[in-house]
Amino acid sequence: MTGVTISGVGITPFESDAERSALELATAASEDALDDAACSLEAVDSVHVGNVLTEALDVQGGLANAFVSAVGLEGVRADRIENTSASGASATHRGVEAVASGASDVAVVVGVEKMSDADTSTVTDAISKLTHGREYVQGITLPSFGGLAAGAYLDRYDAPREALAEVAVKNHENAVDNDIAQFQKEVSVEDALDSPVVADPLRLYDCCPMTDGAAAVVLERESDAEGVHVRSIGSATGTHAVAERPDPIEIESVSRASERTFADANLSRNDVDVACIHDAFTVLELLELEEIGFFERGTAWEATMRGETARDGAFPVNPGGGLKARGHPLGATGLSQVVELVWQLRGDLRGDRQVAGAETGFAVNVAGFGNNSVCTLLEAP
Amino acid sequence: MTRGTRDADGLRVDEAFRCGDCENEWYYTRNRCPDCQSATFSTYRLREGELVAYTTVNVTPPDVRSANVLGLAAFGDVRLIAQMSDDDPEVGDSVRFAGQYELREGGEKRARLTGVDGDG
Repeated sequence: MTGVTISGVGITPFESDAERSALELATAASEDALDDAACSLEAVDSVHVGNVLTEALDVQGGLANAFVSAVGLEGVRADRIENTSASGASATHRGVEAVASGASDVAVVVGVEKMSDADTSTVTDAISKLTHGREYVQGITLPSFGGLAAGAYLDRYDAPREALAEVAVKNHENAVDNDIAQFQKEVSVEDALDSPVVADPLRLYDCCPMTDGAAAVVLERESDAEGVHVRSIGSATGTHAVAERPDPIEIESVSRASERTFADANLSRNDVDVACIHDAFTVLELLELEEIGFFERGTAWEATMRGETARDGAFPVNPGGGLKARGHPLGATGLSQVVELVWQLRGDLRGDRQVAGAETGFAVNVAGFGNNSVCTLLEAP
Repeated sequence: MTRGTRDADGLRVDEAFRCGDCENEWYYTRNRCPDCQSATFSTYRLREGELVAYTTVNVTPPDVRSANVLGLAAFGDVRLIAQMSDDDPEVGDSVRFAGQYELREGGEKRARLTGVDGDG
């Protein structure tokens, strides 16, 4: 147990082309989180901002300082945390550590990205610079790694192409009634199989979109505030160059981070009622479910096709639509997973949108193609 | 790291590293042997490897060909991902580096992976 509670959450709509700036999105999400926590600005003493691209896209430097000024916080400790696609969870990790250690009484953690600030090829190139120099020379992009792993997974386990499509179908279905999701529409297996090839065998509907959006949480000590408990949070790095892994379908950072997180919480995989998995590509949902140990190796695809990971299945995965359909605003994604889990664990949601009886939630947020992973275990109030 | 350093590692694309102390081999540039942390190592040329997986990437950065066929190949314990000159490889194919191509537009010409028995 960390002794830290999430006393409030806030999130903006996730969309393809937001009218508001990154700074305005971050401010809106944070103000909602502070309102939700019934917490005054004066009480906040540390700010942790997760963000990836604002400098790379030539929009804003010193984002944390611009943010505290825009929100109206003065004299707090603030900085920006960059860990590629896991920046949101890493910022949360730093916020939890600040409160757990007593260094901070009230921490605001916000993640934000405005990927529409540049054209698609500029953003793609900026993201591909997270690769090793000898990978970058080859023109490798993140979907390239996904295509290699997906081909190897389907071959190894003799799984049909439909298995990947079913992940997309499920996550789109889950996003239909998520008011903040980028794609609130269903897709069929046929739609997914007919969509253009991005990195064979991955097609457009196997890949998360580019997204604008922000999400925020307020963290306080359990003795000071009511809320969802942070049982544990842990991270681990993997190899930088993806080819150096002994097996193309293994993501060691995910297994390491999850082992640490379960050990720190003194919980087992069977204790988890609902999970948010980093499905930047459909195959990643399957690989990560197996790395964490929610399913045996080579079986997550069959479980998905049987409906076990659907919102009304035995083990609901990505009940808000995941990166695939809720969207993937890089720096905000890890926080959007936490916001979704908080809603589920507080029982805030209505009808089918709510996972019945969810007491314990798990999230994994992954940087690059497994360069670094951050896992979080949360427990109902 | 600037793009200049990335391109100009001073290495041929078919060069890998061998530790002078423990003989461990690796491909992706680092300052020390990942196994024994020795800073004494030399380079050697990769000869024949085996294709472990491949993908054809249609959505590529503006200075990279589309489609970009990429292969994950194993040269003994050394594994790497590189552009392929073959459009239709098969897992298990023997591969080597050959030819001279601009891997990124305007960049230095470098070899691509090609099937040993192919015409690549």
